[in-house]
Amino acid sequence: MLFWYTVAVLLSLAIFSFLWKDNPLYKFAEHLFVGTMVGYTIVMVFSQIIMRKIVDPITLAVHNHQYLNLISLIIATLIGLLYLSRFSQKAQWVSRYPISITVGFWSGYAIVTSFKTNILTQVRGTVVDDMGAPLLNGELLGDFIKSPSWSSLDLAVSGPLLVFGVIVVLIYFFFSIKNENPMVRFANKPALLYLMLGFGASFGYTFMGRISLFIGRMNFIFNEWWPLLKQTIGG
Amino acid sequence: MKKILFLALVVLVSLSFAAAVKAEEERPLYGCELNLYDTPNDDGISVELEFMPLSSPDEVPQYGIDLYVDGVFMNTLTVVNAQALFIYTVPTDKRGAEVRAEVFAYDAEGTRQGPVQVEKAISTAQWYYSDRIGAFIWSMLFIGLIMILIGKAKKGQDIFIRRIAGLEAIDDAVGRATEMGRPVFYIPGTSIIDDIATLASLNILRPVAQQVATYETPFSVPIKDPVVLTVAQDIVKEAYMAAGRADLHDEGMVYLASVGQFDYAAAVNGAMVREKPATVFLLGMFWAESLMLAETANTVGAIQIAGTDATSQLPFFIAACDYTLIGEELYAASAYMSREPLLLGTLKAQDMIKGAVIFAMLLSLVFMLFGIDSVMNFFFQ
Amino acid sequence: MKTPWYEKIASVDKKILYVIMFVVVMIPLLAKWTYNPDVMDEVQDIYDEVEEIYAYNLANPDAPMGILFSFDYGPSTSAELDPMMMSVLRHAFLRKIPVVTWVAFVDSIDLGKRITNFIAKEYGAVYGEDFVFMGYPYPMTAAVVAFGSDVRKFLVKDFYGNVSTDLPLLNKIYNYKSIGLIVTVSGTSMPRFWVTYANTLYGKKIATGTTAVSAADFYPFLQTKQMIGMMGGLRGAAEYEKLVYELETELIGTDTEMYMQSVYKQNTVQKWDTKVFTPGYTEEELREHISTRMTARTGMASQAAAHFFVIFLIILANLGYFFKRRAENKR
Repeated sequence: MLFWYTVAVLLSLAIFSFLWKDNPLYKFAEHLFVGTMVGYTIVMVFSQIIMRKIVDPITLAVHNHQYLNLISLIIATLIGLLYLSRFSQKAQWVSRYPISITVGFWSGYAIVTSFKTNILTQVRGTVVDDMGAPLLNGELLGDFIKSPSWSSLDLAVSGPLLVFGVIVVLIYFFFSIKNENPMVRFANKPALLYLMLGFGASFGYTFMGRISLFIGRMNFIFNEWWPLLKQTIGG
Repeated sequence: MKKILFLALVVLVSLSFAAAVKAEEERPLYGCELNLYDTPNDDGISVELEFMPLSSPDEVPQYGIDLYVDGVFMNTLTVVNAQALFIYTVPTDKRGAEVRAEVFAYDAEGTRQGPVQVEKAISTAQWYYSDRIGAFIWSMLFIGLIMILIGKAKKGQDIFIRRIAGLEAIDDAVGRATEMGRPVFYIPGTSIIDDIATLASLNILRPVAQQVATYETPFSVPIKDPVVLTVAQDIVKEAYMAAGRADLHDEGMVYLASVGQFDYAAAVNGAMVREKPATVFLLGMFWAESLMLAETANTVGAIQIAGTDATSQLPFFIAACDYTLIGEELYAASAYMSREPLLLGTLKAQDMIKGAVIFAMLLSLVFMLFGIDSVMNFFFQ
Repeated sequence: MKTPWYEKIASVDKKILYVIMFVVVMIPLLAKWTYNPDVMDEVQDIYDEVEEIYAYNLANPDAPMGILFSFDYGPSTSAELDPMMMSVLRHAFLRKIPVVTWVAFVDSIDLGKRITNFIAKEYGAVYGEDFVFMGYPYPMTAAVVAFGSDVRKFLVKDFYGNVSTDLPLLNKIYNYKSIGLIVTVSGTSMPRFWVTYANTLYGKKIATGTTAVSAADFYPFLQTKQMIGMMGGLRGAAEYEKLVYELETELIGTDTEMYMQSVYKQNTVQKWDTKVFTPGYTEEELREHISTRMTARTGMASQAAAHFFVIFLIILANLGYFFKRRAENKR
């Protein structure tokens, strides 16, 4: 256990050494990483795809006498194998059959669902909140005017700000209207402001993520490997 | 027809509920309202059960509902009398199964009485999921628009696309690499071929490769996905031939750096540090490796032209690169540069759909101001 | 001429910054400071959903709801995502909710297997009855569709080669009807994929754990409740970790070490498959099991320190930039 942990620590340090400059240690770790990755992928693809998705279902179908199932499995496998024709210059065109089947299935399956998920439900979320209350809400504005406070202001303006933001950003991404169009010119500045605010928030989050990765490695070195080393040497 | 029946049932339930509330003292002993009907919009392997206890909880603290599927006993549902509607989906596991539900009441002593009510329903499959009609109409509208506009573009009708800042920079960037005698790197994202961003990037790769070939600049395209590799190889080869410089084309220009995310980043970073490119294109889909690539390109002094639709990676590109195509600008750039009818038509159709969505949204918002939600439900079900 | 201070700031060697950052991160880590986060709504929502499934299962012991855990991340983001996955898994096992796990990428297979077994072992969960690991259900789209009808037809065997229809758990939980929640933990756009297919098509509830990098992408889905909750980055992980820690203290007391060992003392029956995990612990293992209960909260202390350092740098650099520009304008 200690041996493998130590290897992991040394490789981590070798990769970190890139911060100093490119060096043979880093290169060694890089190549080792790339090579191991490829090897691991080959093994896993064999055991988890070729065995689990082709060999196992076929043997089980034979075992359980499910011959209709067996035939459909074999036909599907044969169609899938047509992909391999890409390696031959002459028969390359055959690979278009499995590709067209996959793409055809995918498009039919994905178009309506994606449209609903990413557009219809999202636009609905710009009209009403998840409780069904409208985002452009006169009552909330009235509440703020009656009793001005930070929380009532927040409630009153957050909906309209969201709606405005969605509209200007949508207009910013209109490409078939000339740059000089007054609507495009009006939306340009506020849209960029919204975009940059969004990117700023995203940036903050991302920074957090980067540090977390580093902390994770350090935690491994000092809270897992080091106690193990101490224990092994000490005991 | 079914809807009307269902509505009638609901009205009935509520009326009887109202009656029950009204006639508090006249509550029937062991009274209840059981409602069994086929699950709407399913593949026919379940029925819905709605149950409303009407007796007072003191008299009947608990009900039991025995469920039979095709006459075979399944299980008993225990319903504590909370004077609230109890809803349950009865699985039948096959179509056309008859479900029978028998309600028993348990009195204060716990004695089982009844059955006080028996209902039946047959599970049937529906051909079409009616909640999806809205999405279907929008999709058909969109697909129709795309087909019409692609047809127009193919016939040679001019489809206008505005100039995007950052595209002009491509020429200068390749020119700069030529002057400095250093290579141009083109990274078409780290996603798979299905990704629209990858396709958009490969569309831009063609004119870039052509320009690089004309200027006789060294070119390097490290790739993460094997399928993208084969496509990119063809594109670069064709571009070199189109530029009349097939002699300069080398199979090794487009290569598979690695298939893992960070090992790819490590491999490309290594290549950048060794070859010191003057210009780096980072166009396509990126994840956490974006800043690692952009940062390294920056340290070797390259001009960087980036573009992605990954919102989480855009801030890094905006901060670290010289030009950034934000989100859809990448697709627009790909249509603009390739002038391909397919892309031009799609882009135009997208704009029209965006316009329609804004219109429908504004209309819904206005009606919502007056508390009318039917417009919104019509458009965005 | 002397170099003005703002020029010096702009030309600080990056290596110095790396070293300072290293020190800033290391101090809280070595001093074992922990951070006690306030739990945000989007994390609490996931916790509440799991509790609801628990309540449902108490009421329906014959037809329990399970949770499908999808390991949609690889080793590269495990520093942030492991603590989330572990916390939600612990919650599920603590509440004896049936668990089905699988992975979305080739390089996550080993990771998914290891973490599933690691947590299952703590609560003495039995493979095939309390949890199953389905390996790598390639292609993912087909797997998600298959779960709509009967996943046992698509995945005829589990990861270990057991025939799916022989596993008692899969005979109870084989399609979405008996899945109460889907937990997708990912540093990629997989949560969006789950929302598109499992939520839009099958109306399933999706809980997401994601790296801080991707967190901003998913807020629109939270607003529309297409996702019921989200753990964003190490902070989200720390929050869930805290909730589960509190629950665990309530249910099994503070001496987790004793509890874990007692699981394998009481039962002499050989009901645990040694292919999955060996019953009992070595001292090293025990320490690992205990330390993973607070990884995120210890990490967050370092995180907070690093954030303060960076905010300081941003302010300093902007001041420098401001003065530099002013000096240039004067000239």
